[in-house]
Amino acid sequence: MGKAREVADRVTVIRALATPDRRAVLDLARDLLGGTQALMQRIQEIIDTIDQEALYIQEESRYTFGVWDHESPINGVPADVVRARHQMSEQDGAYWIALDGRVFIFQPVRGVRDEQQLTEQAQAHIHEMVSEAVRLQVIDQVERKLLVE
Amino acid sequence: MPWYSKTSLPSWAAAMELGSFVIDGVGYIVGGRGTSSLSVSSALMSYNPATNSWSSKAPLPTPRYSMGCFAVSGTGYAVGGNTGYSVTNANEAYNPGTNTWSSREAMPQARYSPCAFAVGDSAYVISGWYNEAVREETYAYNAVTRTWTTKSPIPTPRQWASLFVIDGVGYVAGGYGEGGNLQLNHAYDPVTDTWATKAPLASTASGHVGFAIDGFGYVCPVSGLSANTHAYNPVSDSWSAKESMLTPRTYATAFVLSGLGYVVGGYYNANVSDRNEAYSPPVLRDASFQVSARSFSFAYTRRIRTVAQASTISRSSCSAQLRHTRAVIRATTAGKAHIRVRIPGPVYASATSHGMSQFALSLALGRRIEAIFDGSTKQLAVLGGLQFVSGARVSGQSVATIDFRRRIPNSVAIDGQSILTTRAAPPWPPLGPLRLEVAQGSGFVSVYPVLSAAYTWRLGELGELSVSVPVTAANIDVLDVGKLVRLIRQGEGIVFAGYFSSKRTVLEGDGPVVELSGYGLARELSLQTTKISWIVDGQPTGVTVSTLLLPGWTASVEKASELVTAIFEGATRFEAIAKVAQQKLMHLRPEADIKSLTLFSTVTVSPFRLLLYPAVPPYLDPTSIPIQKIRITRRDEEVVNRIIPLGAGEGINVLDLRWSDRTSPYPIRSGTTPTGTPYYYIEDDDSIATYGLRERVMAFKNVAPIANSPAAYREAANTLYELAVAWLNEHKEPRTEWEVSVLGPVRLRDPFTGDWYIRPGQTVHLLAKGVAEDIDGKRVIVDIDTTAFVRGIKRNFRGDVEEIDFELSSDTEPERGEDALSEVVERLWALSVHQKHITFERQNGPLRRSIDNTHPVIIPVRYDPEIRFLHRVMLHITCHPLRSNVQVAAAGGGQTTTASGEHSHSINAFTTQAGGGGTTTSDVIGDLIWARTMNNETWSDPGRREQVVSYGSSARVDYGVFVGRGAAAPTNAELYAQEHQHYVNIPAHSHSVSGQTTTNAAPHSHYVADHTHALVYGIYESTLPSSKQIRIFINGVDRTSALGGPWDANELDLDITQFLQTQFLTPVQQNNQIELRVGAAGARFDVEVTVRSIITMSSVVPL
Repeated sequence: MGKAREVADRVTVIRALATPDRRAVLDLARDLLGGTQALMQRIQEIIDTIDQEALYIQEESRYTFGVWDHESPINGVPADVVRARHQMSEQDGAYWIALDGRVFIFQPVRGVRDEQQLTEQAQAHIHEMVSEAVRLQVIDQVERKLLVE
Repeated sequence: MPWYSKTSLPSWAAAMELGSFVIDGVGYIVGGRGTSSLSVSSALMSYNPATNSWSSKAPLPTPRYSMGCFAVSGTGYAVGGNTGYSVTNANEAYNPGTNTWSSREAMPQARYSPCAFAVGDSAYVISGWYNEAVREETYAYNAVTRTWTTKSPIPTPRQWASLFVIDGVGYVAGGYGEGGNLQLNHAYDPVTDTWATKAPLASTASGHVGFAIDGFGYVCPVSGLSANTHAYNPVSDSWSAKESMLTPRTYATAFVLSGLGYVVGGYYNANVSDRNEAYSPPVLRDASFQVSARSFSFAYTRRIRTVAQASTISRSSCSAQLRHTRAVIRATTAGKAHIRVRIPGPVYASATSHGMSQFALSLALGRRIEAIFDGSTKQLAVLGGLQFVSGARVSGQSVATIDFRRRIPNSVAIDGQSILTTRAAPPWPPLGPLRLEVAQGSGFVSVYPVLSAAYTWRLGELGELSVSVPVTAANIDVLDVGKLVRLIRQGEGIVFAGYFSSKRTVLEGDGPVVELSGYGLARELSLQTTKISWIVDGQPTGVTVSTLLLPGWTASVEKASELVTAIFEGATRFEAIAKVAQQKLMHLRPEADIKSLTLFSTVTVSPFRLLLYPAVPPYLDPTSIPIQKIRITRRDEEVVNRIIPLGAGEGINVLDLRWSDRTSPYPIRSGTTPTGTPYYYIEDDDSIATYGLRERVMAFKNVAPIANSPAAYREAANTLYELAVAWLNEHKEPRTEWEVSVLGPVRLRDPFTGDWYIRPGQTVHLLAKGVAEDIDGKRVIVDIDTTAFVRGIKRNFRGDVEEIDFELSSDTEPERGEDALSEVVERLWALSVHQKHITFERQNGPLRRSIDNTHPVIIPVRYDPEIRFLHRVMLHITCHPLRSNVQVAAAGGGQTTTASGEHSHSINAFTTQAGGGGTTTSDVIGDLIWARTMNNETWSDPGRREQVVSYGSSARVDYGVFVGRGAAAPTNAELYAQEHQHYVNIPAHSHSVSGQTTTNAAPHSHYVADHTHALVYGIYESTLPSSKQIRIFINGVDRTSALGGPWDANELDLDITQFLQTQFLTPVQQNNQIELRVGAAGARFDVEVTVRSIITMSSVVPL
């Protein structure tokens, strides 16, 4: 999976843990570990133990996408209604993204009908969502391990 | 100054994280909290924009803050939120008419600070916080059915986001996500249930508010604790900065009243705010209108800056009403009116018509529009390559919205549905009069004129035709019963063909008229029967239909490869084909113009729209047909979406779906009653999601297997399944049927391609807002926007007038009346038999056997072939000690051997040996017995001093004793005994032995002579071993661990049904063996084994 990459690093984890809801976890861990430097080191250690590649692949497998053909209904809604609701012209393209088999994103792209471009945009869109989901899972795991220790 | 200060909240009602909704032009704010999260408000305040004042209303029953608020059908709702102590899923509804709150169905999951909005009857609660995380779920609440359903999740979960609604689409911008504040702007379309990513906010934001006015979204504050306001343009998908609020605030609430956006309450300067400020978007400026018609001319230019400057001007038959963001031009004209409008700025406009010759053009912030309204044709055309693309609701009334930023072919949309396109008209010939053609020889002859004609084209029916023509010399010879006729319309082609079956001539005012009536072409198929006992058994549907057709006919069968089983007892060929269609859940449509049948289940969509809409210009589009009259012919609002079908039999013997092997269209599911009894059902997931679970047990007692074979049961259960599916399809959604009448001329068919624009079996968009006739003939107000299924078309031509009645249904399923259901049952001849069941308990055993680890015990269990069901099998095992009824049982003898040491034996018995009376005999061999004399005397002569001799019969001495001194040894005395015998007579005697025999010899052996013992009778038992390790093998397979063994217990009661019963409740095999084994070495005892089976034997008997 060329798109898979490490989506969480120490900085993003610390930033996430530093939000008001999670700040207590970070403070507690820092105090227990004896300082910020030790905390950062520990976070990096935990991140290193997480197989982000596997998380990415697992999360990505939930998504499918396609370039809209301007004819297929979207979630049972006829194409002309879909077009009207999104104020789409013949020059506009769109792609859809399904999560666990159900279309939940219908993304018009103004002035783009090229299938290759739309495919790339859909893949990038999925990559963003998958990366975000993996990042949250990594943060969650780091938080748990910090709490357990 | 677009922001205005309005009357502040009473200080006691000042709050942050409060909710709001609008009902009938009145704004309501509800709940909220103070600076402490435990200071939670229950206040409900209403704001009247006309009086610019606040009133206190009935308090919220569950005080909370950051809830989702919305209004549906005049009722305000507050869902979710934080009570100060916990996050809640409470749903409470406010009725302003009674000023009361009532509890509604709770949200599926509690939510804090979600977004919420309402469209139509449904509201959508999006994302929010719960249980330590922001949540992605979108919940929809239908205020009519009062049910919640789960919709597509938001791509990026968040709380405290802003939300505004444009054209029914909710835009969720910013908010606080997992990683902090967000810029993301996602749009949720409830129609497609999809999300789209839109242009993000200028900066991250949370705790801000959103509202929409005239198609633009407004969000404030956009960054932190500020006052700045940004506007979102959905057409350009872009944001632009607007004027800031008067008071910077976060966690306020917002609503829109009369085109003004109000932002109320919030958090500012370390305290909650009571501020109420209203935002007025940019208004029409430098608008110019020109309307010219034969009857009038109207031109107007004016600058408008504020709401207060809204005004209405009127000149001749044309008027312009100018509001702060919208201008409405009204005119009345019998001819054409040419309208030119020029407005700077973004563009929004709408066009409506009122009555036969009036129109109104509504414009908002437009740039330029040019349109022509033709009062004679009631047609409005928009010029300039502009497009009507989306709908909007203004004051509760749908209007078409013209968006002319897109220079593509024109179209008009109402509520999102296009009703006008200004594409070039196709080169169709104009619609003209009817012509009747009658077969004559190898061709057709035309009959003119046709005074009137009517035909009916329905699914599953032959079709009917009637024609009225004047009697002429030419006609009278041509028109005759039984001839093939075609009804042809100029501009459409053949619209119907069939055969006349009756003819009569009547006298009317203008002379004699021939009235003919008949049926469609499918009449041919109703004139031949399927004879007696025409049976089709497991034959492909396509082949079956082909077999039933007559030469010259064709059929298109969608489920051609599916098998069909049917018996046709003299049915007509058409009836038989209809029966096949019913059985395979297909529609049957005889084509109107050719000898062809179509059997289909996939419904196609007609491009037509049927409109009953007072504000829509009629005839805007060839595919948009105005409704003249709409009549509700059926209303079945009872919804059932789960059916538990039961066939013949009672109790545990009842026929149900467990034997069916059907999986489509609904999988068979099962459940268990609280008493553990399984039941089987089918359900429609979509219907359940929409209406909630509505369950019913349906008894089809006529459905019974015709034999005891599994195949017969499967067939019967499949019939039960078909009935259940048919029933479920009819009731899974509320079913309404309408008869919609429209006035022609309408072109139903492309004259060149022959394609039908609308025909039975298609769906058509029905948009009706107005008055309809109910089932009982009363006038009712309807608001219908649905896809309707065309079941039939009745078309009536009388002179130049054309009327069409569309028979529409909300349900696309094939008709399944009671008769049809009966036919499915009849197919299995199930009505002619009755199955008799007897259920009882059969016992094998008890069987008592001794068992140890080398001697298993086997009990055979046999189930007869007549056994229909095996319901339960119980194995009872009781362990007993070994039992004997004799004390000594051994016979024999031999040697007992002991190697033990010194011991003694006690003998308590008599010896019984009798003896005596005999002679003991001893032969003493003659010899010297040497003895020593005591005095050591010697004598020399004679040799023998004394002798005792006895003489026998012989001359020799038989025996004697000689005493003397021998010659050889001078000192020894010699005692010499001659060879002799002793005779001892022992009298008969016995010995008594008592006491103890003692021996000190050890070891020693005892010898017991062969002997026998007499039996001593009694009941003697051993004891049960504590360790047994009982194991059970059923038909050779070790089931011990599956049953929870091995066991040491003395009594076992085990349910072994699962190893002897199939999924169809029948025995796995007829001959079974249950074997008990003991694993513990040395354990030896008796087992008593009993197998009890509850079985049903059945027999089929004629009714």
